[in-house]
Amino acid sequence: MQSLKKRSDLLVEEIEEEIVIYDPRTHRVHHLNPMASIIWELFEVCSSPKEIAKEIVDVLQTDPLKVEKDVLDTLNLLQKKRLLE
Amino acid sequence: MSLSTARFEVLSFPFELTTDDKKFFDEFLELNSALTLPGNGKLPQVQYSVIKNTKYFCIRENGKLRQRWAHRWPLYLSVMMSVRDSLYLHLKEYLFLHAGALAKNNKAVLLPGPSGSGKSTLTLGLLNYGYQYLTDEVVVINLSDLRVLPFQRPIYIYGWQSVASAEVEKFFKFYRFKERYGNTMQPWQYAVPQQEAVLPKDTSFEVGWIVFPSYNETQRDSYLKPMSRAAAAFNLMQNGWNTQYFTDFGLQLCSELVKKADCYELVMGDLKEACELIEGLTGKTSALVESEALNNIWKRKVLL
Repeated sequence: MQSLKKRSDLLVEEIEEEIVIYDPRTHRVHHLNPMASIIWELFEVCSSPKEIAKEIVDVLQTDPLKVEKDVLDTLNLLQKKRLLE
Repeated sequence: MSLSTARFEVLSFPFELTTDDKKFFDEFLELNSALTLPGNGKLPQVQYSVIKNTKYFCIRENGKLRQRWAHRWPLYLSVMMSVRDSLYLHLKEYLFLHAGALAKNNKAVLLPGPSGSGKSTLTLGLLNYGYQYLTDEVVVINLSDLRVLPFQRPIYIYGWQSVASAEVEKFFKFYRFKERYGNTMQPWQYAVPQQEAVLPKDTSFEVGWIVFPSYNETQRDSYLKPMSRAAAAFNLMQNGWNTQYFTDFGLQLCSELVKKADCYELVMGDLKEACELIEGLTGKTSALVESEALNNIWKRKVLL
């Protein structure tokens, strides 16, 4: 099961609904595109990738399979960049 | 050995230069006349010496050997870069960005980008369109109000071809150099703002536009694409000279800065078109643009 917990030491700036993250450990900056930003925000209220996908599908009325894939891809990317605990 | 010494300030930070090479001494001070102010009695925080031994010009910073060169011509750039690096290290009240900047109607357009992205090319191009020169490489943002301060260093131009219209040549002096480097002769020049173009040191400009330029050699057209402010903040962080000293505060600064500006990506396939696209954002001037100067800039692709 993938972690949905954001690292607490990150500096997160939301600029016009897109997220920019500063990682103090690596001094790297990451920019999340609009969809990744929505997924990032949903970590606060959802406990699984499926739940995140469902929230997005409910709002955007879009293809559930595609959304689920986007959510998993984003999670993998965030994990690869070590932004999750 | 006869030594020449000068004290000068950049952004009120005091330096001293001592050298036994009178030619370099005189030219260095003249080339940097728009950037520096004479020292006003403060003790220098950083001292440079450029002394020639039997083989090399040795550049020392506070007594420590920093670089050595067999020729005179790289000295100008080396000492200037050392001055620049000292400012990044010592001055915490400014954010320094790797960007060109010009002003029109009291508003600044920033051109951030890594080396080779076209900052200097575009800066020179826009001078021909009547913009005020702020800098070709080091944008100084005052942290207290996020306004841009001029950093009018000389613009390095490879080659001797004319890169300015007759109008611009009234405001800049072009110092031409030719130095032997290995088996080749290197022609190059510096464009130095003259009195009419030198901005008072307390002048500052609101940031109106942030345009990230890039070359596209595969196409002939230029185009401008709006960039989200989040992407602009991210890209500014990538082009910060001293953002690492601010750690997380650096991102907050960049975020605040992009909120004040309209942000774009500019892909350059043609310089004239690129300049006109920026003019479309900032408002046109009545400058008489000479296409030969633009062609020369574009051909040389002034990269430093």
